[in-house]
Amino acid sequence: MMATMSRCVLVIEDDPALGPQLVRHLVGAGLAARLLAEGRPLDGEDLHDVDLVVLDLMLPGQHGFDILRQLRATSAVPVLVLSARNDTADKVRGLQLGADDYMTKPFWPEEFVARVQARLRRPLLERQAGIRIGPLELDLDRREARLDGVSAGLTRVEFELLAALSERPGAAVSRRALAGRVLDPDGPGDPRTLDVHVSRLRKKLAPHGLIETVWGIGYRLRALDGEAP
Amino acid sequence: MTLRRRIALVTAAVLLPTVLAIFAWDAHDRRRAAEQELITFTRGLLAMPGWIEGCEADPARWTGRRPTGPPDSARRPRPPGSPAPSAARLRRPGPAAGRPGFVPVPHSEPARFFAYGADGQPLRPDNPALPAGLPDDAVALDMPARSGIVRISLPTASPICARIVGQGTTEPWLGGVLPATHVWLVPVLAVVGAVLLAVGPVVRRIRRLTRAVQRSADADYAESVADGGRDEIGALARAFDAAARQVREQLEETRSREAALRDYVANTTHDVMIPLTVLRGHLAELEAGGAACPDAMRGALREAHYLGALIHNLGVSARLATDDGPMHANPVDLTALVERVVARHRPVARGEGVDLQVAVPPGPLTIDGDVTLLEQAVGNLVDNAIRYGRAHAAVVLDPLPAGFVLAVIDDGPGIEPDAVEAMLARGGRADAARSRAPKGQGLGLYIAARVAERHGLALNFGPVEGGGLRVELGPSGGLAG
Repeated sequence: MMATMSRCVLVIEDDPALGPQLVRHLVGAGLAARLLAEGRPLDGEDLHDVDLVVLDLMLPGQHGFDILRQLRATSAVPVLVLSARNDTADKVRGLQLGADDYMTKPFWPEEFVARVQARLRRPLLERQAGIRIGPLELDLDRREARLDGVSAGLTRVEFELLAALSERPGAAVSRRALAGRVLDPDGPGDPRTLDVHVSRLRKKLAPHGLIETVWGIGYRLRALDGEAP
Repeated sequence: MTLRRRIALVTAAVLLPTVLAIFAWDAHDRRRAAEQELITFTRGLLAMPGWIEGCEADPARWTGRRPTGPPDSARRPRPPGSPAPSAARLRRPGPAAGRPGFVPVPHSEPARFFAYGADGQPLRPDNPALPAGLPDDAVALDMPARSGIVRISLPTASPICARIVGQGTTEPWLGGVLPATHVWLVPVLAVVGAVLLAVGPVVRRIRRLTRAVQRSADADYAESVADGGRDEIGALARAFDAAARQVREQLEETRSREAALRDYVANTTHDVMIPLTVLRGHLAELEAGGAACPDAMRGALREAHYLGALIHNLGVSARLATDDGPMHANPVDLTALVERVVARHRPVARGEGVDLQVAVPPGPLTIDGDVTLLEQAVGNLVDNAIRYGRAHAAVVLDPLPAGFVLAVIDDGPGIEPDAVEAMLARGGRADAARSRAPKGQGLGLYIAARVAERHGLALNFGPVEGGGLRVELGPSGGLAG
């Protein structure tokens, strides 16, 4: 969370109810937000310290696409487009003009905030190189896992399982994806084989309970230290 | 201008100058021939003893008549083919009608002669005046005269009658062209008749075609105008039929779109009013009871979500019903799409007490497709899973060696295999009352199936261990498991 506390979002929305509401949602999620209620070219002051632009398309004055085109000529700040039109051509055009994401109205406040946070977090995730999750450390070169600094003594399959889950802590990974990654493709293919390996891995990682079962999907590594999926 | 009038005008414009040119050429040719014949005849008279002497003896009364006496052909030279001077006629050469060598020319007159002095003055008062500038010692042609008359002027050796003007007749101006008999009328009339025979049916067919086109237009181009002809008019009719087919198809397409639009507006109005009424009811309860109405709050949220999904579904449904053309095929990142859909449905799932989970690949999984249609289809599946699930719903996107499989799973009651087809049909919403399904709008699976079909994918249904429904969007051929 600390990483997003100082993030600033510029909301360009002309609707007198929706614009302030979006700002309130962002502020409520711990982000800084400014509102611009008209369509006009953005200058350096508008974009000062802005980490993300939320851009409505149908604006009085200048259309959102024109703002986006001008913005892309001078800035690489991520842009999340809001549109009331559920039209493929608009979405494609927006992405072609350089938008990073789009949302179709109506949407839930929670959905909006999640999309903004995901967009703000993405560069941080890409910068993550090493894998350390709470008491767990994975050495990918030596293919060794340590729990509380002590080698967990994992087999090859167990290590691959843990590595697959630890790439995205908190995110569920399907059984098909795990099996395709860690099991021998020429093996018996029994779906329970994966469960057996997971069960053994859980025991070796006890008592931290790092691996959770996700109903209908597979497994995930529990997110620690505020990590979100 | 009608076709017949145009043909008549064109014919006249071509024929008249041609005929006039032929007449003029022929008249000139015959006049020249008559002049030459008159010159030869006059020279013969000049060589005849006593002829010019008669003029010298009494120039004031001399008319050029030959001396009286018995005819003496040995003494009187005659131009070849010419009759005796007393009966001299200047006539056109040609086939004889009557005696050989003598062709009577209608309205012809005997040759006449006029004498003039060396100064060019007429020796008789009624002699026509000579034009100015005549050469003194040369034969003059093209002397002024009325139509049908030719004149030539010859110098003589006589000091008194120094110049003789001969006057003869030639064919009338038009008479020189037309054949002597009326047989020529036969081929001319035959040609005219043939032209009329050929043009008449053409004009009639064109008129029939015009009436057929008007009838076809009155009938929205549903009637064929082809008359079976294999000529240019038949080809024109067939071309019109082909154009009419295109017009008819476009008309039908336009009407279909208009009907779909009217249907969309009517359905939207009807379908929106019910949840809007329910939403008002929930909001009224909230207003009355404040925060102490969690059921009303959840109901209001549910109806608001339903309204948005409904309008999107109606729009997509109308588009699927009328748009059979190519999709807006663009690269679509299914990973991001699934994340968006799940994020949109999390508040609803929480309100319904359903744990909604998702698993997507770590990176983009891109296919070519219509992002709006795909997102609506996946959203409908997720919406159904939340509505029918008891406690769990899950969305799993897995890449396959050739494609992908997207599974939406719930722990609800599931469906019987033989009920799948009925669920995928849109007929459930075709009832007049358009009653809302108990837990949804009834359009969701229909749209998902149609979208899958448009993308060359399949929607497969199967049970979940422990109870529930597993719906997979992916390659056709059954559940991937």
